[in-house]
Amino acid sequence: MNLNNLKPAWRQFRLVNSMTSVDAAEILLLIERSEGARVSKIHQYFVSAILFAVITICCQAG
Amino acid sequence: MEQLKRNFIRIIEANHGTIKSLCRSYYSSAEDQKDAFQDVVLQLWKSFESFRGESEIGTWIYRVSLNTLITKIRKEKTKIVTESIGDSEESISIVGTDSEIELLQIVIQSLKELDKAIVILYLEGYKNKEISQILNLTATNVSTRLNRVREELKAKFKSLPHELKQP
Repeated sequence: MNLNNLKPAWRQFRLVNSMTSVDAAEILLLIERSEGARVSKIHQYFVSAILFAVITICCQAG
Repeated sequence: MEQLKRNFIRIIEANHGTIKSLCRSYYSSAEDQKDAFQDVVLQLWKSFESFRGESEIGTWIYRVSLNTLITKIRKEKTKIVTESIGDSEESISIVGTDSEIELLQIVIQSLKELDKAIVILYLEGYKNKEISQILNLTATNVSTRLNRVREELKAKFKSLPHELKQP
């Protein structure tokens, strides 16, 4: 089998897959959700760091 | 930021056919393909800010998409399309060989994840050196793998009609 003979089929395959439209709102939602998750992780990290600092200070004082 | 998002969405709209084709090459069920599409779009978004146009948009899409899919597949080994080439030959006799796209899918799905990426990039018209850069391999490795794939396919699909054999 010559792989070159499959090149037109690959082009056709790509063309067929590009015929269905992609929802811009869905992509926007997807990227905004990922940003939200990133912000939430940073927030969680800071809360944990503050808690750790408070606990460390309390333990030293005791 | 809003402008960045608009640009990104425009790029995805223009290239979603390529991304969907790659997802369909790696996953057989519609649900898995949708999941993979979302993962690829997310990964493209994460790397979009650092994309400085040093390569063509198309090459960047292929690089990020294929590397994302290969990593995803390796993480969830059980979901791989594990159809063997032997099974594929059986499928050919069932579905018929008049559809070139069907044959393409059978051939692609019979390959391992990295070989699949190499063959797809070859079909897209990339040279061995470019393929090696996209997939972080050496050019020699790409060349060796392509030759091995050619030999395997020649042996396994030798019973196919004349138009699929060497001209």
